[in-house]
Amino acid sequence: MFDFKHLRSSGSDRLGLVMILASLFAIALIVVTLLWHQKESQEKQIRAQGVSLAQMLSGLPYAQLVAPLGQQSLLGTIFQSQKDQNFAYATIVNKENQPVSVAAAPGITVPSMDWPATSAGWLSDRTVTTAKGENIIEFLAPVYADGAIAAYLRLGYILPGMGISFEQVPFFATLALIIFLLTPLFYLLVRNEIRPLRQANAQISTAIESEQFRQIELGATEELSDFLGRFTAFVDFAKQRIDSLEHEQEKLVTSKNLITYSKSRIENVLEAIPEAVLILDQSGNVCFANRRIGTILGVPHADVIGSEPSEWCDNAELLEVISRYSVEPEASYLSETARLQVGDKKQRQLSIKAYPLFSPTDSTSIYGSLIVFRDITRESAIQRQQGEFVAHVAHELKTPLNTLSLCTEALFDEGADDPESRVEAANIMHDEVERLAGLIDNLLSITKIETGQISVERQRLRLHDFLEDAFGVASRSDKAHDLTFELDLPADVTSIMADKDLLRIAINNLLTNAVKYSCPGGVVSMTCEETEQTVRILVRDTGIGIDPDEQGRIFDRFYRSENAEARQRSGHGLGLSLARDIVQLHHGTLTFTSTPNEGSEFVIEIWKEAGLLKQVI
Amino acid sequence: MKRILLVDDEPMVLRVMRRALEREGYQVDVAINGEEALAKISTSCPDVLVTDIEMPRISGKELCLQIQETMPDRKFPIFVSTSLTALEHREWSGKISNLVFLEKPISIRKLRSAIAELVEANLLAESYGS
Repeated sequence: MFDFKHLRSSGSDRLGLVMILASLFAIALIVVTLLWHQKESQEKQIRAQGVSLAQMLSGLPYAQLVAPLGQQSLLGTIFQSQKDQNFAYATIVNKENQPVSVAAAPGITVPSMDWPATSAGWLSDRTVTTAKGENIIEFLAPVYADGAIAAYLRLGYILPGMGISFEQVPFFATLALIIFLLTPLFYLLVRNEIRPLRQANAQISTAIESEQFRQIELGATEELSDFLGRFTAFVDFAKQRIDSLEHEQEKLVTSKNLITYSKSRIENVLEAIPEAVLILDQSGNVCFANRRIGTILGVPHADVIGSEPSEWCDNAELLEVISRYSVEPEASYLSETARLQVGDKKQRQLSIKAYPLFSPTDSTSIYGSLIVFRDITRESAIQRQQGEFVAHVAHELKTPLNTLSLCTEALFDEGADDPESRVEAANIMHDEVERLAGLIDNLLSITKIETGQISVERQRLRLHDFLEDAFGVASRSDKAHDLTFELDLPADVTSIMADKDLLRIAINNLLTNAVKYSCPGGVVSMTCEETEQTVRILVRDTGIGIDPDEQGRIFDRFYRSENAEARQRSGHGLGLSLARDIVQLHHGTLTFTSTPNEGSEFVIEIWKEAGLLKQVI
Repeated sequence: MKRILLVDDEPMVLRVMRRALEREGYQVDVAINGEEALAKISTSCPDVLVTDIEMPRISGKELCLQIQETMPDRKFPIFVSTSLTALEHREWSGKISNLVFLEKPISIRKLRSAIAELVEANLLAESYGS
């Protein structure tokens, strides 16, 4: 709102001072005008007098103008008869420019003069300044003797100034007095006329002070009342207009706040989503991008805003995709998957979807494109791993099934006639069924662990009895005939908190492997050691061992040794993977050392109760 | 007597199939992996090759591709046993002629008839060609 408060009355008391100054100015102007007019008329009179006198004297004979020595010259006589107080001098100069007759006013020195060079200067006038600074107008005229120019006549008059003569003082004083007397009269008249304006000013000032516009009421002349009426109406109109504008401004501010809030809310939502979002305007410039653009596309967020994609995108394939959507937004319904090398040179797989942005008021008008980038690298890897897992499972399941199928067919074809073939087929089928059952058990356990369906139900486990039992089962297995089993457990080995069923699977898998990969006459042993905070269970064999280049992969799911001897033993590549998962569920570690053709040692290390508590917390 | 080379990383499978095919009158040789198979093929070319596809080091797929590359004029048929039934797992075999996929579990009877069929077809082709 406009601030009227700084507007104050300029002070009506200055009116009197202004009028006095105006009257003084008027007096000065009148005096100067009168004196100028007086000077001009005197000059005109001098010129007329000088010219006529010069012409008259020029017509007289030289001898008459120049009197013999000792006699009064005509020039002197004329000079003496002159009443004009401006008459300065009259002189006759001969051709040698020597004065032959001079009549001058007291105190006036006749200035020197050059002889007129041409006839144009013979009858003329000029203005000269004397040594004392007086301005003289001089009239020249030739003087004839016997029909020829014998000399020159010079008449000089003092040019009048602007001064006031003593006689003029009363006139000017009277004039000034009249003007001074009229000044108060004018002042009173003007003050009477401006009184309503003062009243109006006072009311307006009050209205400004109170910040309330109201009707201005005062007694004034008809014209002034009319003017004030119109002025008041104008003020009312202005007030209404200001009120209206203020109302509109409030609405605009409210709308702006709402829009800002909505924009901020939408931007916050767009910032929160895990996808990178890019909004292009009609000209293809980026008008919005969330901060995920930095991590997914590998470009600084600040570089993207307000610029064309070509300015920040150095990936040709990505730029081609973005450009396609920005140039043809109507085709942006399409989505595609691209594998891109972005930013940190990391290969990423992106799902790119673009949508045209329609005008809210005109659904046929497109004003930009919304492009959403989703990093599906991890998803794709998981899908691929799942596919590979299923393929591995199919292979591992079909391998024993294949053997079973072949054996069954062999029994049908020739087994009935050949007892040796029948026994061999039965043995093979038994082994493969066991293998199949073990594979399915391990698969189920792994799936439960991976999907979180399994929970570790810890209970106090007497390790001595538990390990003795597991070792006994392994030593009585079908393939244990030619092996020596050594169990060395301290009688006072501590108890641990563990899931008995899960830990049994892990120990069984280690012992089964030890038996499976042992050679006839080999030794399978198990011991248990205690440290301050942990318990170590060691399973050793003197079997074929693991090649050094395979040792980094033996815990990989479905990995089976490429060693020919190892291949002779049936397996499915899940036992060690599952054993490690189970030990890790107990916050323990499974490590191993192995030497080819000498054997392997696997060590399960599990925390005792106190150490376990620290690990869990 | 036709000579068959069996390649599989499962000793059980090799043992059962060898016995069944020998009983059919074939001369059977076995290889436990792709490397061994390539070595045996380079020494003595078989009349039929039956190989598993998923094997360590050199897989059945690599074995077939290497045979195709080193022996472009190969005449013997190749049977590839696989547990992967999807077509995308078989696209690689498009340019290899005389190759048949066998889905696990393998039937000796079907293998026997397929071998007979292909061997007869090859013999016919050879006799017409000559």
